[in-house]
Amino acid sequence: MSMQNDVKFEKIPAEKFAFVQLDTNIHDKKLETKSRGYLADAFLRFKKNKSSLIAAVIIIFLLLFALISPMVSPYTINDKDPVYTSYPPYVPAIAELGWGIFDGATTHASQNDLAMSAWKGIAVETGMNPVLGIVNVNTTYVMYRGQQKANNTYTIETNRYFETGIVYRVFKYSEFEAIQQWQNETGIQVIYPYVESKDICDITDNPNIWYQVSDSKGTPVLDENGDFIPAYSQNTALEGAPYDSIRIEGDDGSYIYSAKKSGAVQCRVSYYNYYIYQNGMEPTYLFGTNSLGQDLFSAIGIGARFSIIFAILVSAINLTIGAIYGAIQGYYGGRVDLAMDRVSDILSGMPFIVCTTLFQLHLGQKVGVVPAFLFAFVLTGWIGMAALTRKQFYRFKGQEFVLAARTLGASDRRLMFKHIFPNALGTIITSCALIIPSVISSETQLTYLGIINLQEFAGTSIGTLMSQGQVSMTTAPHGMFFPSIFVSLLLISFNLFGNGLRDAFNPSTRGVDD
Amino acid sequence: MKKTIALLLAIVLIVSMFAACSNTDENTEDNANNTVVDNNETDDTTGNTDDSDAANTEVTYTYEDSVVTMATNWNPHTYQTQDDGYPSDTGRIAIGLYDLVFNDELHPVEGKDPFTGYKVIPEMAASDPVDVTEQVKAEHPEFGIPESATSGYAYTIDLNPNATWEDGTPINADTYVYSMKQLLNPDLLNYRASDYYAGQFCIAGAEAYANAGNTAWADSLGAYAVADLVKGEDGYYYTADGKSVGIGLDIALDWLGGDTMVNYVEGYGADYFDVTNWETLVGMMNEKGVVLLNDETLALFTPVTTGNEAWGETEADLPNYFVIGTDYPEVEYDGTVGLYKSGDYQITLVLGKALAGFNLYYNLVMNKWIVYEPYYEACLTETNGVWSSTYCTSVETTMSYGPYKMTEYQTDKFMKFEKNENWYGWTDGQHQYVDPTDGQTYDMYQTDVIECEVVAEAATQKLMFLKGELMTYGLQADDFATYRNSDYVYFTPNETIFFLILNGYKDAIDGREAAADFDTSAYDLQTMTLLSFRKAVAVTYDKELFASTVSPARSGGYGIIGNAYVYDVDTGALYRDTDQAKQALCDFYSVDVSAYASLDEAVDSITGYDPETAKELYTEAFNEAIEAGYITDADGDGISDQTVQIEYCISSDSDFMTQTIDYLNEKMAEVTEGTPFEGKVVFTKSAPYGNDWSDKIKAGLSDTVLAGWSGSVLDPFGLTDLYVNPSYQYDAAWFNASTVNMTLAIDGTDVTMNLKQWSDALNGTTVSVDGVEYNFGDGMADVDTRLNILAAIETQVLGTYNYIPMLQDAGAELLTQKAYYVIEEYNPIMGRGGIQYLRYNYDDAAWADYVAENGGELQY
Amino acid sequence: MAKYVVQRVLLMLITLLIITCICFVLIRMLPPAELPLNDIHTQVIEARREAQGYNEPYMVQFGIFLKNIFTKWDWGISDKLYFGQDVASIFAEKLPATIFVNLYSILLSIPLGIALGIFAALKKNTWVDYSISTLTMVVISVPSFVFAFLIQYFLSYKLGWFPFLMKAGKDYLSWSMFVSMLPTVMSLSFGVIASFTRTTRAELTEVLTSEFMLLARTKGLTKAQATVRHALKNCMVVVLPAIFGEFIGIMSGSLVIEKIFAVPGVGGLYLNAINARDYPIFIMVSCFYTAVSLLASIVIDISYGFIDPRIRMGSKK
Repeated sequence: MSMQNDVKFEKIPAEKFAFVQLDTNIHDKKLETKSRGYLADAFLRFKKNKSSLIAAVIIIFLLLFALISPMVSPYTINDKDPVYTSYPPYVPAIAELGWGIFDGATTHASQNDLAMSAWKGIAVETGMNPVLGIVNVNTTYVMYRGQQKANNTYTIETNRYFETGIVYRVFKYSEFEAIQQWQNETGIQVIYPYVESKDICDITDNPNIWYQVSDSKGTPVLDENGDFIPAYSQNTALEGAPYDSIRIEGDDGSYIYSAKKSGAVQCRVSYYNYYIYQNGMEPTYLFGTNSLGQDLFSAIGIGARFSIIFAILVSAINLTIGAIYGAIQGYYGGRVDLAMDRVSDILSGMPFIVCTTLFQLHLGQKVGVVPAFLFAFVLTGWIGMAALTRKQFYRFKGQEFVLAARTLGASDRRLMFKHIFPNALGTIITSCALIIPSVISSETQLTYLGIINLQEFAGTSIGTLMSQGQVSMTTAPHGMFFPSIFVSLLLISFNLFGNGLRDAFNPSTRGVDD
Repeated sequence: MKKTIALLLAIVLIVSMFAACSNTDENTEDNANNTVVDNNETDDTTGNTDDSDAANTEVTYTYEDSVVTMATNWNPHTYQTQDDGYPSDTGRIAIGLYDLVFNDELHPVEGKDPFTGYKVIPEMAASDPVDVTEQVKAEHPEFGIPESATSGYAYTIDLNPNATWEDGTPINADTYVYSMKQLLNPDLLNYRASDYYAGQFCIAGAEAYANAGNTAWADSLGAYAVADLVKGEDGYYYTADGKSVGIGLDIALDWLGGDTMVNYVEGYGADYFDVTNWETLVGMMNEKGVVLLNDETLALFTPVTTGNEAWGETEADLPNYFVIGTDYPEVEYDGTVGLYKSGDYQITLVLGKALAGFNLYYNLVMNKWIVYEPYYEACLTETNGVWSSTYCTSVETTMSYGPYKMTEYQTDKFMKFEKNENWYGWTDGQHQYVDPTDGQTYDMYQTDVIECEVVAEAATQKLMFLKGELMTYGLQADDFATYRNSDYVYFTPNETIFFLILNGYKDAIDGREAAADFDTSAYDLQTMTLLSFRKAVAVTYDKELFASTVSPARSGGYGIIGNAYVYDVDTGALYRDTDQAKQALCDFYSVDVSAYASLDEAVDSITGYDPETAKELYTEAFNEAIEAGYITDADGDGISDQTVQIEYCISSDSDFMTQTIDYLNEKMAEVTEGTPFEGKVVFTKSAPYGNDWSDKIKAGLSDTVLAGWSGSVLDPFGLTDLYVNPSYQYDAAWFNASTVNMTLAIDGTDVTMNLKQWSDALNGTTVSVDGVEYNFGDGMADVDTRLNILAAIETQVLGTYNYIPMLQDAGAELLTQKAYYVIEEYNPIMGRGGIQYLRYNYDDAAWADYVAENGGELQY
Repeated sequence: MAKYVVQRVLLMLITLLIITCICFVLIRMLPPAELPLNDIHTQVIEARREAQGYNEPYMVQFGIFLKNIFTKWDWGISDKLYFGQDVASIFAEKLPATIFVNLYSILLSIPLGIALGIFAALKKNTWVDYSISTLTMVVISVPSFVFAFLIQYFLSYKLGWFPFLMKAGKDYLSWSMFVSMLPTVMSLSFGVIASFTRTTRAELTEVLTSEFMLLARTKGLTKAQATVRHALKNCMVVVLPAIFGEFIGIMSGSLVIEKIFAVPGVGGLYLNAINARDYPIFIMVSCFYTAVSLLASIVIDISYGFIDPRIRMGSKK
């Protein structure tokens, strides 16, 4: 019967058809309000979310910090001072104001009288008093060999940068000349008179002893006024090279300023002033230095740059792979889905840590640490994205507009990427914003643990800085503090920002976390 | 002192580790010295507590210690690392036949002030050993005591009849003999077996028994051409003295930079080799990786290396693949090994090398080989012919016999030792001393309990120490400013020298330069093998500055033998203070002694940084390098066109590495300024090689690394093995000491032999040269002669510039207020007394009160 | 349902096998740990490797490996870290500490996290909610080892409330052991609490606004009654599976924390095995982590499957 009908219809002559309406155009009813695009709509909603907005501002601030701090810092990542390592924040101009900030202050407990006299020795000789103040005086009574003895100690605050005082340096003759020249020009005393170890109870490892001592621990012999008695050498036979520059107060010209070594001269040098001689400026470290003597202020910026770029890169790659994979899975469903699901199951079953380790071991030497690291992140990282996309596809693929497009003969690819995908975009972008902090966090943990080391490639990384800071956490907490604060802020803001984005794109899931 | 070798094996301290673990080393080592205690209080100064002590055993003294890595296996036959030595060395669960104590009124040494020297006392032995060389020589010819020998080869040792295991089982001669038999058992392949025959302490027949039934294959180092070999009746080739010869397929060969042929062929295959016969050859290989050499196998092997242009070797190179086998026949323990029972409580010890005096005692102090038979047997398991033992890996498998016994053990976490009530020493009256300060008599071993916990982070360690939870804390760089003047800080010299190895393996370097991806127009490696260049590097670095930059507790190191080595145990005289040693340094650092008033002044002038000399040497090196075609100067500006790239080999990256490399580069740039190498010598950081670093260095595939060795601090002579004996040459393996002859005047006659022979002779092996036998071992030659030889070897080794000394190790640690050392001065032999002499200011309860009183945070 | 569970479990086993195989081959492909020349141990280790088929094709090696596990529970012999000792027994010694630490932190986290979540949901959009949410966000974002250091420095050192490190010994149930585990447990818990709080709050908020709650209220239940009987029950459906996930999840995430507090657990073993290249241990711990992560996913899957059959399997387009 239907057959017959078909046949019949085929035979309808064309002239029997007539146009219904030729005089007017068909059009949709004109919108009465101004139309707003999906993105603009999302943006509006996003703007209403205060915390996300603040987070966005903080992110911008942190990004700017990462961008700018290495540029404005007087130091580069390659400036590593061998002495000023793990030193606290110090800005001479601010320190002078005596506000108690940026003064390079560090606290030393357990300072006995001998230690106090050693500090005083440095202050008297170099004119830079390391002791900022005495915080506390302790007297404990402690047993020693069956006797009770009093143990007097002070807790003091010192300027770490002045603490170093005098160091030994061996100079070639030309360098020795150059420093004298510089001294003459600037009037800053770098080289101090030489002290022979035989005059100070054979102490060889403490260049800060310039006074007469009574034992090899460095207990000073004081004159009747309680002052140190200089032990500077006047033995010209020992002198390494002629000295013709500023002399210290009290020198009648008989002190020698260097000692002869094979092919060079050895001097006692005020490290602070020597630093000025070398760098043309006083040490100025806004965040202090790390254990390598790098400026933490710029190091954080450099570490953050890497972390952020790396995280964005990972997100982008994961987004691409995940979206395509998830789209195919979600769109075709069934067996294809099942099979592909197994693949992602297997990959996601690989614990991340095992994966990273294996990649490092196998590829680290061949393709470099960073690519190996990137592979490790990508290997399992896209799976979440794929799952998300798949879910979205399941949601949309049965909907009417897709059916309509299919009826109109749209190809699979067109359906997937022109029709369904844009609808899922919001969710995907959002999760991208949430991947960034998780990548940063994993990267930080791994570099912290030392499973990977990015120093060669990136200069440093936040995780590396933290593990460097951890070593001297008790003596220089700033090394741990600044990177931690930075990374915590970054992660908090990214998370808040991501949440805000999600709320904005998917008002229906507002407040729901997945 | 034979312990040297054991220690050496165990303690390759490499930079990679020492940055992270510096604190570990210091802790473990120092604690071994610092810890001590005694038993029941007979403390007169606290006389009123005497009675209460006796009545109230609640008073305990606990020594709380920490390590970074915990012992995992303290089986005396198989333990490997220094960490593994903890239970025996610090925990004192074992004790030697003899022990060392300070000299004092109870243990007087003539002509010495109390606590300035040592005294040997019998422990597991009952009395001093009795020399029975003559008797054994006559009765037991099988031990091969030389006809000429009259003493030093055989001893009887009476055993302490009171000695028991912790459960009360007696320890007698059978225990000693059984244990030695198991230790050397050829089936068990015990790691420690070689301690008893390879070094100074060499038990007669031990090597023959330990290797019984095996053939030991060793690289021939190309010493035998086919023409030198004798063809046996079976068609196989033998050396003139009858040893088997094979082709080493799976044996590490010097010729291949310490790698094996199998690895090469499997790695590069037909690209470099003719692999036609390879499968056949591998099929013929025995389980040791050797194919015995006959005409057939030689014909099969020859094309492998000569048949491919790319590998390009000729038949003349073949001998480099030959290995020499030493056959050890199957033998029984009895009648072979010179340790047998000569009474229920008496053993006889027969040695392969004469040993007497302090060295004999010292070896019997250090080597503790006895095991508890029932446990030992139960712990052995065999799978596929491989034996494993779990003896001494847990409390259940450990049987103690020292002053302490192990009572708790948790892997990687915790160990606890308590007094062993069954120890004979508590009642024998031997274990007492007279305090040098108050003149009172005290019992040794005041500590009741030793607890040792794993604390990985130095920061945690410090916090725990400041809360009174640990007895010592090794100072970190950052702590110096705070604690360097403290009354509780102790500086301890350490024997290790850390040096930079500088690649001198010309063949390997040529190979690397020939590689396709090496840009010879921009870089160069060969220059670093030039002696002038190497000399220049040696005077480029200010050692003290390096030390203060990277490791403030340490100081600059100048020779390959450190400052702490004592050559005369009785006077404590240091090798480094001898004129011979000083001259060696002056030679190495190109110092003209005549320009100084005295040798001392000349040595004092050495800082390692001599820019004047360095400049001359770099210029010289430049000219030589141009001439040799290593580098070019195409534009004629007098500056090298190539950058000499020195790869610094790292195992894993760390701050320490970075700081070291930064320092090396910075100083290099400074010194080469104004020379033809200005800016053209650069140290680069290698990829992290992990554990492969050592192979890379040995094979010349990486150029430099900071590394160090230590040996027994009482035996500087034993260190020579490290630099000239191929078995111990872990670093500059390319240096063939057998080819370097050295002539020294001995007793007015010039004697010439190669460095290896000198070293062997110095360490007690009889070496024959041109029919004359030499032995300069301890007691065989006078000390001056020995020092001359040692300094001459040091000069020669330094003269290769394979090693650029950088750091002298040292440690600084805080000692808790809970306890004190019997003497403050460090004694090179006794340290500060160890756990034996450690005394307490507070018992555990009083200490807890004291800590609480001070708010839980102590001031030092 | 049973069919679904069986299906999932089978799939998981297959996945586990495949991953183990991949890990095994990848690890065996690594250059074996360097053996010192002229070292007597080299012979021992080589003989052992021979027995494990080191010179055979990888799949044969894998076969030997599996056979040893199934027939003898033999995971190999450690050749570096614990020379000559059985890997499985070392692992067994390490496992309890990890399990207990994680168990305690779950026991601490669940009630706290859920309570905070409920509290925040009920007080939605008040300052209580905001502060809890903010705190949650902070805690989730800040790396856990930062907390660990803060806890160690302040609670253990400055205040002296807790020991620095986990107590030694195997008395995992003793009080002193529990106290010594607390710093570890706290460091681990912060993140978990925060994530429970977040999940609970989100779920509960949604449930509270749904129609059946309205119905419950209309049928005369008080707000409290409605919340407890209907809302909570419904939201637990989502929260409970998360608990398993978290429990198993943090086990592998406690690497850093274990190191800081010297927990004698699996994490430390893993790090040491990597550093020392002790491959038999490395393989075993990798298998453990894999099994743990698969177990987590299957538990979640199955529990969701129970709850919502719709998400069991995909359907054809």
